[in-house]
Amino acid sequence: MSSLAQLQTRMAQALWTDSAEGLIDQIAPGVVGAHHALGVHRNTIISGLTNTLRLTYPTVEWLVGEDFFDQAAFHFTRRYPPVAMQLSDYGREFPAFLESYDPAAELAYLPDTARFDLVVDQVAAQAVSASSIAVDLGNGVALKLDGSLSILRLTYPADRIRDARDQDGEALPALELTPGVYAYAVWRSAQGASVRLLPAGVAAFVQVVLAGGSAEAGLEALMLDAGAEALEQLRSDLFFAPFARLQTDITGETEP
Amino acid sequence: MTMAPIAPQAAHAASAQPIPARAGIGLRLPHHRALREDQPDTAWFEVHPENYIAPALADELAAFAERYPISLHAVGLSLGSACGLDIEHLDRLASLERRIQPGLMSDHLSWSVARVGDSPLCLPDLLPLPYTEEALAIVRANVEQAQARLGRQLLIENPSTYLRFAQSALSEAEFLGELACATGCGVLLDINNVYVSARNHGEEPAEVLDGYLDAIPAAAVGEIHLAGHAVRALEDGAELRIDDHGSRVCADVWVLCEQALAKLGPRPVLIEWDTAIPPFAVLQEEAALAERLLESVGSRQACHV
Repeated sequence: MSSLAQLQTRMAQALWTDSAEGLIDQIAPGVVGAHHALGVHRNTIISGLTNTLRLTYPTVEWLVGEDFFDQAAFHFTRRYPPVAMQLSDYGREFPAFLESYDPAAELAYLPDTARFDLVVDQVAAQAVSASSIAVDLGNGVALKLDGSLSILRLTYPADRIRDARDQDGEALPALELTPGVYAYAVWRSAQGASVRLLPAGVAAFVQVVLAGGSAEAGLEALMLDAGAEALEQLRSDLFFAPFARLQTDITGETEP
Repeated sequence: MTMAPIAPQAAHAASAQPIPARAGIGLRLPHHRALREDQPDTAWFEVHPENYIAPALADELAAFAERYPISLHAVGLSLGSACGLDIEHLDRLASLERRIQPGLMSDHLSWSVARVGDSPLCLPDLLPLPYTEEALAIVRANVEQAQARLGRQLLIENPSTYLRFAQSALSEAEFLGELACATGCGVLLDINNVYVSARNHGEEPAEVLDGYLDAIPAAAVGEIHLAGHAVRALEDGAELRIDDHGSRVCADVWVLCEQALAKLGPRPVLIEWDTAIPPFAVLQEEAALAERLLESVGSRQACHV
């Protein structure tokens, strides 16, 4: 190992662990003491990582406030050191981390809120999709789904929390955050990430076909949840949804 | 000193919009709307390419690049890392470079990645190097590799420093000068960083700047950066200057900028602002000051011809 590599390993450890043992004697005496100098770098690193999380999880921060968020972010960064330079990819484990973060134990909806923020952030980062995923429905009819479409299944209605944030919190006290099954379609529209709540069975259908399954397999998943309502749910919640369109061999795209 | 031939420009570079020797503005996300809606009369913009890897933002940057000359100022190549470059990251930047065709491309004389145990630890900061022959060889190899992959010259920026290593045998200016001569890279002279580092190390900023201007071939300086910084009083009475890019350019730094331009001649001058980002109009005011300084230096030099 070169002496530069050794120095950099030592300095990285010193900045990450707050222990400058083995490094201080390599720093020239100066006007600004070594501990102050290292402190500037530590602050820059922690604030850079915290701001990355803040940008990805704005609803979480709005819910818990800046101080709580900063503390959670600090503990998260200790457990998940960044291992790649592309910071926009950093922090995907944050929702799972919040599940086991003791100070958030009473905020059962917080991890789902983080999952919602994460998917919205990831979808918004995509380009408006020129591609689509075609599902053969038989008889020359195909269902085309937006290429950016994701399905998110949550236990808490995170969209309502996000909406409350967008309304400056006015609606928050009246929110019913009852656990249940909340399935969302999230896709990239011209406005950014768009979100629509779906019946669980329709979400199951879409999940199956997005994973490469056939329409028949998707229908089986739909029927398990929707039973007799299945076809009506497909018609009302999927075929003419903004992220989907029907196409026939003869007429081309159908209109709602 | 003899300068190495500059790395060949990519085939597409002929169609890139060159960065003029005028004032530009560091473009940040809060100001995208101002650009889209108002199409301000700004000579050029600079962005951190790492913020535009996501396809949606790359599309937006490509649209801006049709209207304005764009410079890509990277913060994540970690050119000073002894463990070498992250090729995947370099490839991402190369892909964006091909699409945007920037007039200039740059990164810093610093490192961010070290091996700790079996994995890299990537610290989002511009960490200082010891200025030794060993470090020069490592940075030289990394810069040459980056320039070869990008197919173009990089400008390397002097960082703000808060500490120096005991084993340094060269000054930062000498190190940069040697690097430029060895690799054909250019230099991005950050005047605020010169000032912050000089003050943090108890030196006279104007003398330190003279050292840079002596050590670095004038032709290698392709761009100048200006920004504000914070001042903190320490318990022992010392003063710490932090390069936070969170305020207007201070008066002393404007004076240094004039000193640099008088010697170098007109260069692209960038206003950076990264924390507590103000309305776009404030950046335009700062850019207007830089523009006036450039005009004044330019006309004085014309009078002397």
